[in-house]
Amino acid sequence: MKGKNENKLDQLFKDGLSGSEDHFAFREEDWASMERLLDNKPSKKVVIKRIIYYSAAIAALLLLAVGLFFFNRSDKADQKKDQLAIKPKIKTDTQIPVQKDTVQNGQSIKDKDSVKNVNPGTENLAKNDINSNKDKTGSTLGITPGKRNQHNNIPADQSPVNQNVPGNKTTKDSADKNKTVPPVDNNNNNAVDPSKIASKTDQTQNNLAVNPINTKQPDTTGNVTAPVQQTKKDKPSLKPILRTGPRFTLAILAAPDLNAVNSFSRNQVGTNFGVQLGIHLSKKFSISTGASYAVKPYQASGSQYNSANWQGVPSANLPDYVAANCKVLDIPLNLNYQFYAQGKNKFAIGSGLSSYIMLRENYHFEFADGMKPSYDIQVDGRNQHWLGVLNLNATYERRINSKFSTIIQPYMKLPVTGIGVGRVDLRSTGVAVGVSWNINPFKPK
Amino acid sequence: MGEAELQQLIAGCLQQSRKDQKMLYKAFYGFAMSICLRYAGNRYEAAEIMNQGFLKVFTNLHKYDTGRPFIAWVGRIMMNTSVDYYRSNLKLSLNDDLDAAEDIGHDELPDQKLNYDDLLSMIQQLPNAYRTVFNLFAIEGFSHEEIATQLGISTGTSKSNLFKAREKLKIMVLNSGRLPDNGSEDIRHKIIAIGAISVGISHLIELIMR
Repeated sequence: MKGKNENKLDQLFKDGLSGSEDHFAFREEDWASMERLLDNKPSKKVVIKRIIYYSAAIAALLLLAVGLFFFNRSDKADQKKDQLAIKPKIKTDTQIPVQKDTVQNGQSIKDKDSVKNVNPGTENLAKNDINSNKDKTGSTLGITPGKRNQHNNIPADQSPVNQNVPGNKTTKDSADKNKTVPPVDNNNNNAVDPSKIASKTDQTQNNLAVNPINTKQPDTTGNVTAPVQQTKKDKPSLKPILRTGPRFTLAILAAPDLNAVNSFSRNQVGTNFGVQLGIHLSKKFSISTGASYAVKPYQASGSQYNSANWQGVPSANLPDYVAANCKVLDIPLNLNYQFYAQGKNKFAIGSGLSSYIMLRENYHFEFADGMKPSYDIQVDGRNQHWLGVLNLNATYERRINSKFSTIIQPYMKLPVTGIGVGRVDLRSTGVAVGVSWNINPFKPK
Repeated sequence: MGEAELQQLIAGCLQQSRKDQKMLYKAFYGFAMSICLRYAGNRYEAAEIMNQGFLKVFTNLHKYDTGRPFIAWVGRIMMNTSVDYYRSNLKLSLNDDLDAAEDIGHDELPDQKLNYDDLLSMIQQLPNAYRTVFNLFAIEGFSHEEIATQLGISTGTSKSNLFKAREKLKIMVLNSGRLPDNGSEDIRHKIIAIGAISVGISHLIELIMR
């Protein structure tokens, strides 16, 4: 204690202010708020914090639910799209021929035995017969069914005059095909149909040509079908072009940050702001990293705080309360999966690890026993927790224009190592709000 | 309140008897409030601090060492709670000639009696950092070293804050003795302006220091 205390001013105040206990009449309203404290009824501040926390949780859940809903819908929509995209082609180009084919095959089955031997006379038939024989051998030799099918189709497409021809052609082989081929036919038909156009001209060739030419025919039809396949390939072939370079986004985010030790029951609000660089590897996946500066105040009990300096000190001599305020540089590394994107809205979920670089840690220690003075410590830049914090987040992104979008990102940070001097389980949660800048946007097709 | 009565109340509080808690609260209300008001900026803050202090008293009553006076224990808790309440802005300081703090207030003061309310309102007009140090040094009787340890500030800051507090209080005391006239009105404006500027500058410095 101070030895000399003869200062007149000090004395004036000391004398004037001491012995004033009776100056204050008891007020019931003070006791009422005391009772609220004793009943552990949350104060307004705590209520507000809880509202923030719960709304963050609800927002995250809603985001997830809405995202899943749209995800499922978009999945179906995609399927429909695919069907719409493919079906017309099949219908116009291939399916009708398939029916024809089957009908013809059906006919050919009927004809198979009865008609087969009826008109073997003509040259055409003879050749075709040979063809079919060749096919038979071809199939045994491993020539693809498509080739054979083509042979079938070419005559099949012919006017009724030639109707018998397929009959002969199909023979036993085609009977087999009727059972086995149809599923394969889709492909073949795609390739075959255009050849019909050619086949009419080819027909004469077929008629005139001998087997060697016919065996070559698949090549020519292959050439003819090529355009169709190309147009079909055009769509998927765009993807690799789009994927050639990763797309980058830069976001500025700020968040109120709820910090608590062990559970979120006693939390304190901090702030968090920073930049985030997104590297979009594909349409669905992206990696995000960046840096954010966070102020994390929190309270803990003495038992939750495990400083190395406290080892071996009897627990009675250790503080009962710890109030901390940490300034942290948070470097996250997250992998994000975008599960829904339609129109202007995008939803993604992400997870990863954060590194906490503790810039400054302030601790205030207090003893429940009022006789021991409370004290403070400050630690600057001593602790770094590389990849020591698990990140979980959900992101809702709404496009403003081709360059900018707004982002709402509920997140949670759960440490896997103890944080700071006291190695505390410092959890943080919050909702980050920000703006994202699309550095090199996808060019809309 | 007799010692036996107090022990009975404490025992009741330990069993979470709300009636006994209220009795204890009532018994130490004036005492606790007188401490908190000195540290607080106003009555509302003082009541909030006091209730936080009483919460500590009730929740840590089992740790109370019965060999020591109960009132001192309560007083210490109230003081600590008050100090903690303003902890975030305790580092407000200006690096002036620190030893000058000792020289203020030895003379020049009029021999007048100021009543409790006047003194309290003067002390409450001080910035939190100055008020806390002045309370701890002038009224509680701590040394600068003790204050520095307790508040987590340097002794230099403690001395500087005391200096500033005394300077401000002296002006207030001197002015309180004068009758309001044209001159004092002028001086009051000047004081307000100087006060505002110094508070502004100190906040600015605090910001820069951060």
